Amino acid sequence: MNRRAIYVAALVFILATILALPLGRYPVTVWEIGGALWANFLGEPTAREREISFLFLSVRLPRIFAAILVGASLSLSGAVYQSVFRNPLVSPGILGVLAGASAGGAVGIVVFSSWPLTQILACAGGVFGVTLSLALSRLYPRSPLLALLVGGLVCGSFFTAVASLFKYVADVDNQLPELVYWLMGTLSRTTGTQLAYVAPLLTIGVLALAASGRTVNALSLGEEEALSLGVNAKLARLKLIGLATMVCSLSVVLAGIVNWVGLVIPHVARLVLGPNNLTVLPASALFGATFVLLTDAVVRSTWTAEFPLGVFTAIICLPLFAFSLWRDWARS
Amino acid sequence: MIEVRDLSFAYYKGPKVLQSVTFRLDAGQTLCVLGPNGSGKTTLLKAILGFLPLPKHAVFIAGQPIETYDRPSLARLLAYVPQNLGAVFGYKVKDMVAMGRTGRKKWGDFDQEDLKKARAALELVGILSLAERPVTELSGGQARLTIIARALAQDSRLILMDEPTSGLDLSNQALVLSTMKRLNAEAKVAFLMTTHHPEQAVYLGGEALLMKAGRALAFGEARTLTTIKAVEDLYDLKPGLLSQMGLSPVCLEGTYGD
Repeated sequence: MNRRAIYVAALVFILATILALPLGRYPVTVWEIGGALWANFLGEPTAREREISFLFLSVRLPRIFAAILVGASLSLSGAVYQSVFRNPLVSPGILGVLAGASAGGAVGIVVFSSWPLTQILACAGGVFGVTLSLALSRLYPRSPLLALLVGGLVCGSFFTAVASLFKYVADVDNQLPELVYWLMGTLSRTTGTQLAYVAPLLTIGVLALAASGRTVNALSLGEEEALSLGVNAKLARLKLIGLATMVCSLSVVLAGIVNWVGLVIPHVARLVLGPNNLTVLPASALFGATFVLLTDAVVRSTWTAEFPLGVFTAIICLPLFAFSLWRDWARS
Repeated sequence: MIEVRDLSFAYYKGPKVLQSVTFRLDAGQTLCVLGPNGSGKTTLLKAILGFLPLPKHAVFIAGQPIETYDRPSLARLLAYVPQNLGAVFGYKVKDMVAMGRTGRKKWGDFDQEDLKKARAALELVGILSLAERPVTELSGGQARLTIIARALAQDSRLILMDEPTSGLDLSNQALVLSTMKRLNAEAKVAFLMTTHHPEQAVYLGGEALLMKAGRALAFGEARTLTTIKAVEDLYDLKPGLLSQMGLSPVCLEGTYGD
């Protein structure tokens, strides 16, 4: 592991978090936030300090935590999928995980209007999405790399159609706007309650995935080499795909579909630090968290009407992806 | 070290690829499995490595049936060098070699001892100067040596290789085979390899197993077993063809140098 690189990435991430704290439609400085929290702790806050504390603890802090978790989950699971499937072009979006989770979530919102059930259905949709993509790819074994990409795209279209169907039948006044905005990818509706449901599982999943670099390296060499290196390849692969799918699906519950982060950020991490997953996995988590944190800070503070996060990440990620592909080509 | 007892195997419901194969290889010995395409050489290698669902008590490693080992324990006894490097990503040579220590760790990064072992393996194989190179930029011979170094870092007592010189030019074949011979002589590393070339079995010394249509035809010292007659029979060659071409396993013995 390149520890120095991880420390630098962690430092950048901490600085980005401090930078994101005061940014938003309600402008406050870091000092004001600190002062308000301290005054609340002492029990003698002014009305403005009370307001700032409320805003910070109920709105901004959950949103910042959610951005960190969503960015880390998507990027990390993208890095794991790419190595385990031995295909640098797959991602949670391309494998149909995000579309599957969004279809499951749409069923939860429209049919059941229940938060825990929405969460379970989103996870089930994500698992179903990746399973269907894999099953479709097996139908064309002559070119497994291409088959997985096409299988994922077909599967993604299918689940997008399912989600559209639920948009069509959703209640126009209440459910439809919520569903449409959520599917575009946004953290503006993240609440402390949602976070309390999702964060523990997401945090455990992210930490477990970030610590699995050795096994992921072995699996990236193929099943027989992994077996000969002492890794129970089938079980390890199943666990990693399951864990990566769970964190992606839970990120969809928090933020809807935030596209391209899972494809592009692992490429950037490999471009900067090389392909060794002992470094790439924790670095992808930190890079992804920093990226979504800063992107969300921009979308919530730059325009009067908030821009959907998923749309903005897609706009930024396209040139980043083109650059990383070009660098890779130029190096070889 | 390895004992194969009356091993038969078929993929799914297909015909038998291995039929009643029996042989025994002691620790430190080198064995070349020879035979034409489709004779079951690679299947035998995969069976010994535990990649295939085998009948019980057919393969014994260090005196115990293979089915009693878990993967990390088996990786401490046997290492595998496939024909081609499986890396899709351009890992550095030193990282690839360190991966040989994977089965010895439960959690976290490799420690100093692992990195020391990896470096020693690179030195022993003679590719320390390549340590920082991406494996995707290596020549065929260098790539095979990298996987041999990874197998050495694994600290296994026997390295199994599937046609280690396949697809290599003559100089790279010589590089790989002379390194194997040196490692066997100096570091007492044993090899079990499949090959199409009888002269390689003679060059490496040790034992040979002749296979045809899934059966073990003969097992014994490579030099005495690979006669012109035996090779002609094994590969269904017209009698006298090898001599007409001026070739024989023994005359090719000096091909790879020392």
